[in-house]
Amino acid sequence: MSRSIAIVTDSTADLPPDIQRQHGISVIPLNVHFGQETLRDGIDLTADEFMGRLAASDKLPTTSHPSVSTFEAAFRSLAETHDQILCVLISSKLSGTVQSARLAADSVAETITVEVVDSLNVAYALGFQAIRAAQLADEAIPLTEIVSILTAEMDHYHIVFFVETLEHLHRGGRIGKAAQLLGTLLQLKPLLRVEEGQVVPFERSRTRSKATAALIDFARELGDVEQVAVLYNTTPNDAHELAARLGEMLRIEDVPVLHIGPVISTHVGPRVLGVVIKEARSA
Amino acid sequence: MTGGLPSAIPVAKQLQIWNGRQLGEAFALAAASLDARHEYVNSLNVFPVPDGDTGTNMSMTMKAAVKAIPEGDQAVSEVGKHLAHGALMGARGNSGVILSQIFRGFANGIEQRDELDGQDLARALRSAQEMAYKAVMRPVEGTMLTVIRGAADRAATTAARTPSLTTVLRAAIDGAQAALDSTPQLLDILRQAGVVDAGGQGIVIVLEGLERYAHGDTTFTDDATANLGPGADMHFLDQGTDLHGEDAYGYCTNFMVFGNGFDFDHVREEMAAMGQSAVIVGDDTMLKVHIHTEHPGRVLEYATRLGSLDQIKIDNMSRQTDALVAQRAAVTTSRNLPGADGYQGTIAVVAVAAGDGLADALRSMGAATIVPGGQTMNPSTEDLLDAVNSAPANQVILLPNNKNIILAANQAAKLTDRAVRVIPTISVPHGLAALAAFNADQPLDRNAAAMTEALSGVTSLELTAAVRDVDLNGVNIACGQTIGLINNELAAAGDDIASVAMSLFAHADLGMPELVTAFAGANATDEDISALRQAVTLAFPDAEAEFPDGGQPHYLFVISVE
Repeated sequence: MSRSIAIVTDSTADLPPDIQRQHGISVIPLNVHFGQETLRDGIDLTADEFMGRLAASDKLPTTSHPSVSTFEAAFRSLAETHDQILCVLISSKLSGTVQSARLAADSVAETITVEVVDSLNVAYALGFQAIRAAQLADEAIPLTEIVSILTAEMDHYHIVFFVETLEHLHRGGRIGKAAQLLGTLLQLKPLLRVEEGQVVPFERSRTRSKATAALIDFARELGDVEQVAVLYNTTPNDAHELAARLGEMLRIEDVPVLHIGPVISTHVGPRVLGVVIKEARSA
Repeated sequence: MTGGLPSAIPVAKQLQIWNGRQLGEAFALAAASLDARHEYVNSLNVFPVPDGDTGTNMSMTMKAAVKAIPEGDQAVSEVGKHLAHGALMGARGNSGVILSQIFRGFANGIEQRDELDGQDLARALRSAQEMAYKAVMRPVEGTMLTVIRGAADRAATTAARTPSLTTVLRAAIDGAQAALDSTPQLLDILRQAGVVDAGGQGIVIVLEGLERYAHGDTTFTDDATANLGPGADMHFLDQGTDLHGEDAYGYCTNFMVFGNGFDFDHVREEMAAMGQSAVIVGDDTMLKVHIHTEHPGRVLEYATRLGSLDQIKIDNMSRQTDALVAQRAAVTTSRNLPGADGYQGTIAVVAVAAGDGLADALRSMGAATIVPGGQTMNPSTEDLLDAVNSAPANQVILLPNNKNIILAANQAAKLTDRAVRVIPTISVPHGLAALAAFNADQPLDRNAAAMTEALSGVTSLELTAAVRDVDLNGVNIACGQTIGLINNELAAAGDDIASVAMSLFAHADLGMPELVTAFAGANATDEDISALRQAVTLAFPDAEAEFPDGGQPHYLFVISVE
């Protein structure tokens, strides 16, 4: 990789290893804690292993953002092969990851320039942004310009997903305005979206098939779709079926199907299905 | 017309022309006639489900109409205007709404008239008929529409010959009665059930009440009142409010008597006097008795003197109604508090439901206001209007949750300054499905479209007990048997919950449902719930099932299948 700008994201972007390699993106793991045990997201345990443990564990795990020193070490290592570093990270309203990266950036400032971009996104919307950053860097576009492009395009990305229960989001304190959906007496599959970096209620549905239909409707109503991906954590068949339906409807051949990683799964619980969309419009 | 009835009505023998005061008194007497016979009208319900409220709804509407007429001398046009407005606000149930439109048309027909003669009456009836047909989207013959048309037609023919009020009125009654008698031929469901149209019967009773006034007859000696017995006035739980309890008070008492020779007619008369809604059939050796009474012991004691008793079944109806009364009181006091549920939005959903559990479920799905009512207690247009006007947002979505409340909801929507959309929900399951599609951040019309569309994804099933014997669609149903309804239509009957539920599931063409939500009624037992649970598991092994407490009266289960 002869590129002068290193691209860094975090493990919540759900970038598969081959994509990381293809685009030369470094991934900093967040952490999952089962009691005293700390596991690095995607390194010490895979998404599938995690779902198994989550189901078997009677206590819910907790999560933490990468330490400043983790970022520092990564930055120093990347400084040996790159002139500049661009960090695109999970929404600062959902995680302290951005904060941690900025502190690390300050402490390595004499060694290398690090730009930290708060993506205001999560999961593969963040993944799409990291890939976009890598592509721009490959075109030798200057760092400041990449940052302004990413910033301008931030609201082109949409994540809509539904959860089996709001319990996990509630316990993790990541529920925000979706709290108004709590306390329902009946079976509900709430559809949520990430808006301005926060998880907010989108629609409500009482069954999975109607919730899935609502995801498709969302994509349909957006109009011009440039990229689309499907997110899941325990229901691969549902995810692949949804990807096929979306691909056909939007005439997009490659619809990636991504397994949501342990950290996000901790907060959304099992049986999540969602779509990530990048709208096609000029910035 | 707030004065006492009927003693305050002066005799006006054979008047050929009415002034305003007389017209008002005539309608007041007609209202009293309808009140006296509303249980009979209720009993003409096609389905043997506990929602035979046509008589009650028409009577309540009629009372509201005459109550709006100011006392004193005035033009008949004024009386008509007040009558129509009172009926509009007090309209309850589809029959009440149609009656209110009949009065509206009647008022239009006597606009600018000081007095009313036979020709005015004929014109008013024609106008009433036209307005009634306009009130329903798809007019169906064999209903009260046919009956008002029968009245208008015969009145017009007669009025062409004579201006005599009594002659034209008599012709109108003959026409209405003939049309009423034809309703079973026009609507097969009536023929099967062996009844005439209930709403049409109500029209005939109203016209007869007017005639009675024209003849100066203000007493109540007709055979229908003989069935009422003492305590008929207890039906109105608190005067001036809109609660009724006629069919829902006392004990529903059923039994058979096998004797050896008694005077059937005499026994029937004596027994009928002991309660209300009496249906007593048989001969001089055998009786089948259905009666609503506060004192079932007295009735049974009397019957034991005739012979041996069998198949005794006594249900307490008062407990269910008391629960409704308490519920209404509770909700009425709290419903005017905007944001009582922390609700803040630009659109508020107002939903109708009976039962704490159903109300809570609707609230938890985002309904801001619950208007108490349902199958056996239809809220009036005014109740709905009040709820709309006190809803915590200027844009309102109204969920009637009963097919018999949709017309009143539409009326309420027309009478308010607020932007109201009525989603035609025919049951609470439909209401919940609509609410799931509600999003306060979206524009009103977009919500209305999404919520209406959501209705197609849900089927509403109900289990209840038959309130009388009937043969319908080839199904032989006995009073007290479990019956099942699919989207309000009778579909199955049997002796136990599980088999009726299985039969419903088979008939409803549900495919592979994902979610079954069965709201248990106020009198559903744990055994009932477990019986239904087994049936659901057997029929839909892959579906999720939940059994929340609905608390609804009369209906053992209200089931949403999605």
